[in-house]
Amino acid sequence: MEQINLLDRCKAGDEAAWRELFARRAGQIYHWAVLLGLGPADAEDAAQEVLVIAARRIQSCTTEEVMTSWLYQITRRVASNQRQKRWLQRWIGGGFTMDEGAFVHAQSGDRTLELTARRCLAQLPREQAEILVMREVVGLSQKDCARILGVPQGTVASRLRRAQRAFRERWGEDAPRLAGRELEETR
Amino acid sequence: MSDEHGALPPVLRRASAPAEVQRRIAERAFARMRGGPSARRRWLWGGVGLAGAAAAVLLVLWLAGAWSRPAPERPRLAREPEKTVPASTEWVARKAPRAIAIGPHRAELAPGSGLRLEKGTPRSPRLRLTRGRALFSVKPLHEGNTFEVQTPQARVSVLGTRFSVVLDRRCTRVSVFAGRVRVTPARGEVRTLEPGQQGSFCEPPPSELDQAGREVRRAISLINRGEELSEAEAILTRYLAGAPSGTYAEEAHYFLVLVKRRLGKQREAVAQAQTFVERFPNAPRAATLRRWLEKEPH
Repeated sequence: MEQINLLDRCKAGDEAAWRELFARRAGQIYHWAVLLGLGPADAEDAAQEVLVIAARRIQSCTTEEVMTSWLYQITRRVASNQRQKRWLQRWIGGGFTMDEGAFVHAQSGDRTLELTARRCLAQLPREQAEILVMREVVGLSQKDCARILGVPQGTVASRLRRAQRAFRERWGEDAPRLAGRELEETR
Repeated sequence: MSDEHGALPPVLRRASAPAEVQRRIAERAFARMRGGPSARRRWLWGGVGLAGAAAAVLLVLWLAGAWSRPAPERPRLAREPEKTVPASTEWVARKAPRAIAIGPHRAELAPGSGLRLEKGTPRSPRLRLTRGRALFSVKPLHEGNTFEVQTPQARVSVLGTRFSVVLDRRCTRVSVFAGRVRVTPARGEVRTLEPGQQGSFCEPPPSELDQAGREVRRAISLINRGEELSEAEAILTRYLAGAPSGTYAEEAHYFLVLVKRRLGKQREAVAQAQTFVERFPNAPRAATLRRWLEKEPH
């Protein structure tokens, strides 16, 4: 006799299972939202919204294996809505501002690196930044990326190559200003 | 940095949200999921409340004006008949999940699922899951009422309250979340599932099924040709012993009656015919056997 998995328990309305799922995924979704260009406060709102939508539509998630890509799709839409809401704010504020307190780091030098990397990512065209996040942070397969973006797999591969090249160019420009072990690791 | 390792520095990939933020997100999302209104909804509902109050005041004023005039006499309406769900009603969830009420009970169909009310009443239904997946919430049953879900591989009878049935191509998976459920598979023993348990009930692999089917067909062919009747009887008896509710059970029972008659085992043929009529009362062959039993001296 098998034990019921977390997804099935959530589908059955088990509150403990929902708490477990939310606790497991909240940080991950917030992380994605920040990398998709939202500030910490917006990312927090977006993560909440994503979890609430996930709870409402849980019946459409078929297995635990596809849950990451399913949640990412919701995050993508919610983040896009949040960005649209903030257009006026950005227009008035002008330029790109980076929120410093989005993440916590084990080492003190990491924050500078993280902010620089996020700045480089934010300077890329939206579709390039997104493909980098999908492949390298969320860990989606090329096939999943193609399905989510609605483009052929070949397009995903070429877009990823262009995005990696563009990111490295920007990162290379900023890198001389940075120091530390992390930088050596990544170059 | 090579393509295999990606372009983003590890610090960006392993960055984590502050624990306080994670906890806050999870708690607020949970509160909203349970129905706690968000700030925006509170405003919205506040607005709706105000509009409702204004409408109520207007209605009271209008009624006060209307009551001062003699109202025309209204014909009395007959009470609406209680809504009933006709048998063979089928609910289908196409692209979106669908929640349905079956009497006091509730079923949630996943996209691409179908559920049919086969027999009984909404209070005591026998349902058939025709495809897909459904989650059932069953209210406590009154004495004499049952709640059953039939699939090709199993019949699930409710002894408790909350369970789901998933129908794959060859398997039925039953998960129990609250109460108890009794599952009667097409083949094998009856099992009772407790909360937190899951059971899979599958058809035998095609080779095994085809083997059984071939055997039964061979026996029928022998009977039709009038050859090796004892061998045909042995095959059918063996099949029914192995799979009393198998795919070919109805055929095997019926042809066992015929072969026993031809072998002159009149008493056994009558007993077999009675078993058939009891087990398959709605089968077209049951009528034939009933007529035969009426004529046959017992």
